[in-house]
Amino acid sequence: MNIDTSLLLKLCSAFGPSGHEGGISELIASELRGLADEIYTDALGNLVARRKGAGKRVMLAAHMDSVGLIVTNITEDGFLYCAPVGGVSPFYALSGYVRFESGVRGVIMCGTKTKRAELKLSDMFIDVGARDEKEAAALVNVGDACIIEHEGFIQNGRVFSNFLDDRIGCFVLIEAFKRLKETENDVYFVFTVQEELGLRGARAVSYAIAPDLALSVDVMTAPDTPDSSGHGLVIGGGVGIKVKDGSVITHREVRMKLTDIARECGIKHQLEVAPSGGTDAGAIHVSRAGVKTGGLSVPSRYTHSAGECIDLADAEAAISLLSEFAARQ
Amino acid sequence: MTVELIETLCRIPGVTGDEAAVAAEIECRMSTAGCETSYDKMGNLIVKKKGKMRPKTPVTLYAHMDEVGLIISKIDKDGFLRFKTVGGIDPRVLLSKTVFVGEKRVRGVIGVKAVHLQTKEAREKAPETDKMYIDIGARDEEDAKNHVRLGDFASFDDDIVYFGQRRVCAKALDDRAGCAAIIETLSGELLYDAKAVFTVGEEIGTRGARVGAAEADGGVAVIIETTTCADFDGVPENKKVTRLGEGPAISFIDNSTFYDPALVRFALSCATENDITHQVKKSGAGGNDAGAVSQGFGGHKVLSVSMPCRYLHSPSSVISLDDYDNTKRLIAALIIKLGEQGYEY
Repeated sequence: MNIDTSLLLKLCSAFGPSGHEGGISELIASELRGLADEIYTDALGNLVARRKGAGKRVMLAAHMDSVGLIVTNITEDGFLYCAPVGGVSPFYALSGYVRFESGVRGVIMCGTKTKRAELKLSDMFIDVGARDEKEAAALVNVGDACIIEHEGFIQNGRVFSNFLDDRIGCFVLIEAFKRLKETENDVYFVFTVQEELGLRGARAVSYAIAPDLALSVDVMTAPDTPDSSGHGLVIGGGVGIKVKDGSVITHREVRMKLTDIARECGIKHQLEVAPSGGTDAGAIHVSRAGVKTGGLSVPSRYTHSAGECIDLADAEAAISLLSEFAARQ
Repeated sequence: MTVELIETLCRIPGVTGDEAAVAAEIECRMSTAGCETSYDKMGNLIVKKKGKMRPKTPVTLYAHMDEVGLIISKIDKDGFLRFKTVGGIDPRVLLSKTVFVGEKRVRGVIGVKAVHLQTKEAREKAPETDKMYIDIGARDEEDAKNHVRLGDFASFDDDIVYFGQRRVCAKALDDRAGCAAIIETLSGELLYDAKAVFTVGEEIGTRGARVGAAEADGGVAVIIETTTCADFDGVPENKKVTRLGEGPAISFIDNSTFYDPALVRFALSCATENDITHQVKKSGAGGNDAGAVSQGFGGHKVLSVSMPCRYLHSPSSVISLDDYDNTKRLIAALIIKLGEQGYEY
């Protein structure tokens, strides 16, 4: 296994809540500029890096955006109220450290009277250290987005970090591009925006690319922790080959191709049959007149928390499988 | 022109699925004003107006023609009409309101058991729409069927009230006020070419806009809408979405769209430069055609400019004519700024 963990942690710590993917997009583009025949950004901010070929159009997608919060109101006392950007659990958010794109920091808390069991995001506020509305307004505008962040770390071959959803997918795409062999295929490595708000970027970009074949790479929650169902993915159990989730039933042909390659190349894998959750594949497969679409998952724990967790061996398996898939007829 | 236009548009029954009369009125006015008009297969009305110059970034304006209302689902033995709601309606606003039913505009009133006859429990909670009926004064089923058919639409009473600080109370201001603002803008002389799409089906899931999104190609789409207010006493400051009379609201996020922050700043500075009273929408709630337009056909840059509207989706929605005027000014200013400077991404 030869994984550039410093790039992975750099991707995870980049600022990029849905709608604010500019910075993370620039970081990814700088990694791929020497490799791609063409790199461009569309109207919504989706980043496309293409290896031109005369063969089939193959689209590989991972989303750049993370969940976050957006300021809707500044109080007279200088506190900020906010709305969620994507699925943010109030329990995960409480007492988190937040950071705005400008670098302004704060904490997210609730009042002393708020009942913890009834905690709602709409009752929580951000304290940026402002003494009043004027001081707060000098630091933050209504409409500014922020992320809840903690420093990530790697221990025992496992990565603990915020935003592995889906910076690990972006990382897998970048590394697979680096390992991509000579191929006839016209391969589009697509880094999408606004997945967390309902697969919005993927919907637009898959129309524009009109792929013959597509694959999305994302995390999928592994219920392999205490007091969880235990029926599903296991972290460290290999890359997940998606059969279904709440947004898609993958195309049999794509699924078979993935499992065949995995067996042939000795890549550790597991089949994923998820009762819920969704990913870009959900939007891509119903684009235009339909696209044969599959999904790869890096099994992860504690999705949308500041301490998401994946196993590096699964990431390595995902990279191997993806680069091989992209090059095959 | 403003008052007559808003009145005319609001009075036309145009419940989702039945927008043709609204479209005909708009088409007539727009072709008189020298615009080119056409329809797509969904029934969206597309209007193009030539300006003096070609814009750097073309603007496509969107407003939806449909309104929330009712559809007749059953005519019972006694001649009462049962109905379903079309679009999001709080059943409490329906009680004892008068309506117009069907093409013949038959008058009716929404009835529920009189207070005297209700049990204490029934009185304490709002009835569901399936307990209500429309009374058109029919003798029996046969008599009712002479006037009304299953599937006929019913729309709210078309009374219009002007009151207070230049306020208008009417049905269907969502989004005939938006339609009116676009009509007025495109009726005048334009410096730059502009296009508008008057959409169908917004209230049941922005259905028209999914197809109408094709028209926004290569430019910026500006959705002209109405939005919730919640600016009354007792609502905590952080839940007041917009304030009536404080200008059009520019959205940065809602349930359908995350607006490009740089484009939102572009719009905010456009308003400031032109001294147009405006506000930002202080909530992520609601959604509109912007979602479908932004994600359709390869994706587009979008903005939402909304007039604050109290009592939205009721027969008595309220907007301020000051907000309406400022919305028109902002549309005009955006067409010029996008035409002159363009918006790069």
